[in-house]
Amino acid sequence: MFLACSANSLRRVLLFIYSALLLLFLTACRDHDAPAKSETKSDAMIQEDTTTVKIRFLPKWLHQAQFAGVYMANAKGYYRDRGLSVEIQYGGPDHSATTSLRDGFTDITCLSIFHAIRYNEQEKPLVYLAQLFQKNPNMLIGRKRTGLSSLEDIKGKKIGIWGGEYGEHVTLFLKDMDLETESVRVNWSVNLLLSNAIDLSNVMTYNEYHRVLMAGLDPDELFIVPFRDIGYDMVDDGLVTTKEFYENNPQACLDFTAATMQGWLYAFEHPEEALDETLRIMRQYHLPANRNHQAWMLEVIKDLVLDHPEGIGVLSRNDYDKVCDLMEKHKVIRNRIDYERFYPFAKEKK
Amino acid sequence: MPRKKSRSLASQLIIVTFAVLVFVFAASLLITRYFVGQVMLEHAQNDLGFLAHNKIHQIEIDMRKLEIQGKMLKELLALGTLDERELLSFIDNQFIENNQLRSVCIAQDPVVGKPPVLYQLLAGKTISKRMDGTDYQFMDWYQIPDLTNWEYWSEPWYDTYATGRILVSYSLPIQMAGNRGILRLDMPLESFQTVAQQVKIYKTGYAILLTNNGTIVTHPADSLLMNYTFFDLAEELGDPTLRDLGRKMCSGRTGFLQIPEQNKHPSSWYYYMPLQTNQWTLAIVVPEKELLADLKKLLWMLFFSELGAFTVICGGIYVSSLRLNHTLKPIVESFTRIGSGDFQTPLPELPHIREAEILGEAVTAMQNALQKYVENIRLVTDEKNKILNEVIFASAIQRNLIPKNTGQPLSPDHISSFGILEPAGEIGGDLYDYFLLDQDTYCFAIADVAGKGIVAAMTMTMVTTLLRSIAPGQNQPELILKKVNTFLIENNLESNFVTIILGIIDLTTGRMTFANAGHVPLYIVNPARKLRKYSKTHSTALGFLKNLKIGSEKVSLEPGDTIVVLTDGVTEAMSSDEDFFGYERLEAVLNSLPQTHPEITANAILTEVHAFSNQATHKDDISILAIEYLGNGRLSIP
Repeated sequence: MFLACSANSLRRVLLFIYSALLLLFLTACRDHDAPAKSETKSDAMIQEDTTTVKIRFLPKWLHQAQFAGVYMANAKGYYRDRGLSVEIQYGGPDHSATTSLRDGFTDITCLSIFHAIRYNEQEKPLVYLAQLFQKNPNMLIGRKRTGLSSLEDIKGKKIGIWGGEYGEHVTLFLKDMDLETESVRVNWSVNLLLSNAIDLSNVMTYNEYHRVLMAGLDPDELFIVPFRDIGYDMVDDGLVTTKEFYENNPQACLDFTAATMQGWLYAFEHPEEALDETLRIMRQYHLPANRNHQAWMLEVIKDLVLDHPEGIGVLSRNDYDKVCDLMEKHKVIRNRIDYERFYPFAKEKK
Repeated sequence: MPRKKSRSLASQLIIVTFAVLVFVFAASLLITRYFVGQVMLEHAQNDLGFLAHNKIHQIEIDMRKLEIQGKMLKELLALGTLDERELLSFIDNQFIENNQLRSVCIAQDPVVGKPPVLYQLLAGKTISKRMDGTDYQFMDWYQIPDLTNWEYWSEPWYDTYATGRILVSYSLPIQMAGNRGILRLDMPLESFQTVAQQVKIYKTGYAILLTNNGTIVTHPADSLLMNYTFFDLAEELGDPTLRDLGRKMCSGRTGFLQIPEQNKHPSSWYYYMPLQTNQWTLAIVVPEKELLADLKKLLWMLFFSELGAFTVICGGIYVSSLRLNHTLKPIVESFTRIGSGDFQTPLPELPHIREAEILGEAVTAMQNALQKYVENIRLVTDEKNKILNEVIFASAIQRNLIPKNTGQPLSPDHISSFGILEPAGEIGGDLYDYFLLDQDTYCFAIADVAGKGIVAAMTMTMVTTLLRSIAPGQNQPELILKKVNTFLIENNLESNFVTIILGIIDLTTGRMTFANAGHVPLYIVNPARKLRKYSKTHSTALGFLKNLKIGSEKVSLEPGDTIVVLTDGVTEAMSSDEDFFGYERLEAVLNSLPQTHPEITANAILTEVHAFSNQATHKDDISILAIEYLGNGRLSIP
C-alpha cells in the first residue's frame, strides 16, 4: 500500500517536472526560431499564422490507448495551436508503418527504435523525433506447469514470436542470451499460448500480457521474463519521420513532437478523458472498445513514458548507443548513424 | 434502597409472553428461511441445470453435425479420390445437410505453394474461390491445429475475407496428396447466440455464453459482446469472487454458485455448464431476490400469521389477567389490612381455584398464629415489665444497703470514709460497706460479685447482710470471710463467686488486719502521697472452693493514712482504643492527689476513669472506697 502510494506520488511529481521541462523546451524552440522569423518580417508571420502544415500520422497498430497522447493532442487543439493539421490514420497489421513512410502515404509514425535504426540502414534515411517508451515493455510468458522456472528452461521450447519487425526485438534478445528455441511465427494472437500450441509467447506488458490475465490465467501461474528486469532494458517506441520530411518541415516536426508530448502529459493527468477519447476513436473504426483493457494500457504506458530523468520524449545518447551496440553485435547493422543525425532534437535537449 | 416500582400482573405476563413469543417466532422465521431456502435453491439448481442442459443440447446439435461433416470430408480428402467437381458437389450437399454451415476452407501447407480454397453457398449455389495473398498459416484456425495436430474449435473471429461475419470455426488437420493441411468448417456466431439469448427465466434471469478464453459471446449488455472477457468484467467491477467464478466456469466444470452483491450488482446465482464439443461455458444467471421470491412471500405470510397469533395470545392473556386482577383485588385489600395489624379481618370469598383455596387456608392459619403470637408477646411484655419494676425496686433496696456518705465522722481524731458505687446497669454486683464492730473497731469491705444482673445483685445483697450479721464480735477478717464462703457455697445456686477485701481497724492503735480474697490490691496513701500497695491475695475468690484457706495481713496505720480499695471496674475500664485504665494510671492519680481527703480521693479516681474510658463501652460496675485514718479517737457512726 505504502509502495503504491509512493509510486503514485512519484509519478505526480514526475508529471509536474515534465510539464515544466516541456514548457521550457517549447520556449527554447520558439527562441531558436526567432531570428529566422524576424528576417521574414511580418508578412511571413502572417503567412505562418494563416498557413497550416498538414501532417499525416500513422499509429503503428490499431487504435488504442498506446497512442492516447496523439489523440489528446489532437482533441485538445495542441496541434492546431501550433499551426498543424494532423490526420490520424488507421494503422494495424495491414498497414505497415515503414511501408507507408517509404511510399509517402504517411509523414510521421511510431516505431520501435530497433526497427527505426534498421530501416534507416536499409531504406530511406529516418529521423527520430522523440523517444516515447523509456523502458522496455517486452516480455516472454509461459505456463509454469510446462516446466518453466528459469531462463535455462526456455531452451528447446516453442516460442511464439511476432512476425516481421515486431518480433525483431525478441529474436535479438534470445540470440543475446544464447537461448536456442523453436521459434514459431505468430500473428499477435495469445490464443496459441492459451490453447497450449506453444510454450511461451512474446507479449507486451501494456497489451497482450493483460489479455492473457483477462483470459483467466493468474500471474502466479505464469513464468514471466520481463526483458527490462534481466539486463535488457532497451528503450522501445519512438516518433519517427523521414529525413526528407524533417528537412522540409523542421519546425513542423518540432511542433508535432512538442504537441504530442503535451498530449501525453494531458492524457496521464486526465486518464478518464483520455480513455473516453480513445474509445470514441476505436468505436468510430468499429474496433472492440474494452475500457478495462485500455485503462490498463494507459496506466502501464504512463510508467513507460515517464521514466527519463531529463524529461518526456528524450532519447539519451546512452540509450541510443546501447541499442546500436546490440544491433552491431548481432550484425543487424553495419555502421551506426551519428546520434545527432539520427536524433536531431538532441541539440534542443541540450 | 429505593424499592423498585412493581408492574401489574397483566403487564408482567404480557412482557414475558412477548419476549418468549418474539424469540419463538424469530427462530421459526429463521429456521424456515434456512431450510425452505435450501430446498428452493436445490429446486432452482435442478431447474437451471435442466434448462442449461437443454440449451447446450440445442447449441451442440449443429456443432456435432459440423464435426461429423468435417470428419467425413477429412476422410474423403485423405482418400484423394474426388476430383474438383465431385468435391464441390459433396460440399454443396453439406450446405444442404447443415444450414448452419456457412463456409468450408481447405488449406494446404504453405510449402505446397497453393493458396487455400474457400467454398461458400452464395445465392443457393456453392462456389469455390482461391484465397490469394493471405497469411492464412498464421491464423488461429490454421496454426493451432497445425501445431497441436488436433482438431480445434476456434474463438469467434471476424471473417473480413469472405462472409464479413463473426464465425466460429471447426478446424482439423488433414492429409491431401501426401501434404499436410487444415480443413476448416465455419458456422456463424449467431447460431450460438440465438439459442443462449432465448433464455428468459424468472423475471430478469438470462444466459451468458463464454468462450474458452472467457470472452463474453452473449450477455444482456451488448457493449460487452465480443469485447470483454468475464475477467475484464470482474476486474472493472473490482470483484475477485467474479474472477474466481470465471476461472471455474472456464475450467470445464459444472456448478451452482452465488456471487454476493457488489458495486450495485445484485446478489445473483450462477448455474454454469460446459459445452462438450468446444468446452465453452453456458451460464444461467438469476438474481437471488427473484430466485427466492417465493420464499420471501412465504416468510411474509408466516410473519403476518405469527403476528396475528401473537396479538390474539397477548389479548387473551390481558383479558385473563384483568379478570384475575378483579378477583384478587378484595383479597389484596384484606391482606393489606391484615398486614397493617388487623388480624381479625375476614377473608373475602375466594375464587374456586385450587391455589386460591390453599392460599386462603394458609392465610387463615397465619391469622390464627399471629393472634396467638401477639397474645404471647403481650403476656411476656407484661411479665417483663413486672420484673423490671421489681428490679428497679431491688436496685433501690441495694442502694439503701450501701452506707451513705453523709453523716460520716469528720473529727480529725476519728476516721473518715467515702464510697462510690456506679453500677453498669440498673442494679449491680459490686458492694462496699463499713461499719463499727464496737466502739474501737472499724470494719470495711469491698467486693465484686462475678456476673451481672439480678443474680449478682441478690448475691451482693446477701453478702452485705451476712457481713453485717456475722462480723460483730469478730476481729479476724479471715474468719468472717470463711463464713461468707461457706454461706455462698451452700446457698448460691448460680455458683457466683465473690472477690472481696475485708479489713478491721483497731481505731485505738491504728492496727489494721485485712484479708484479700482474689480482689484487686489495696492501697494506702500517706499525707506525703507516699503510696503503699498490697497486692497479695490471701485466698481465691469466695464461693468457689468449699474448704477455702484464707489468710490475713496486718498493717499499722499512721494518722493521715488513706486506705483506697476499689473493684476491677476501675482498673479494667477500657478506652476507645481498647486500652485498660490499669494500675499505673490509678497509682498516678493517687500520687498526684491534691488532698488525701476520702471524698476528693474517690472522686478524683472516678473522674480520671470517666475521662479515660469510653462510656458507651463501659460494661462493668465501678466501686471505690477511700478511708482516711485520722488517729486515736472516737468514731461516731450514724
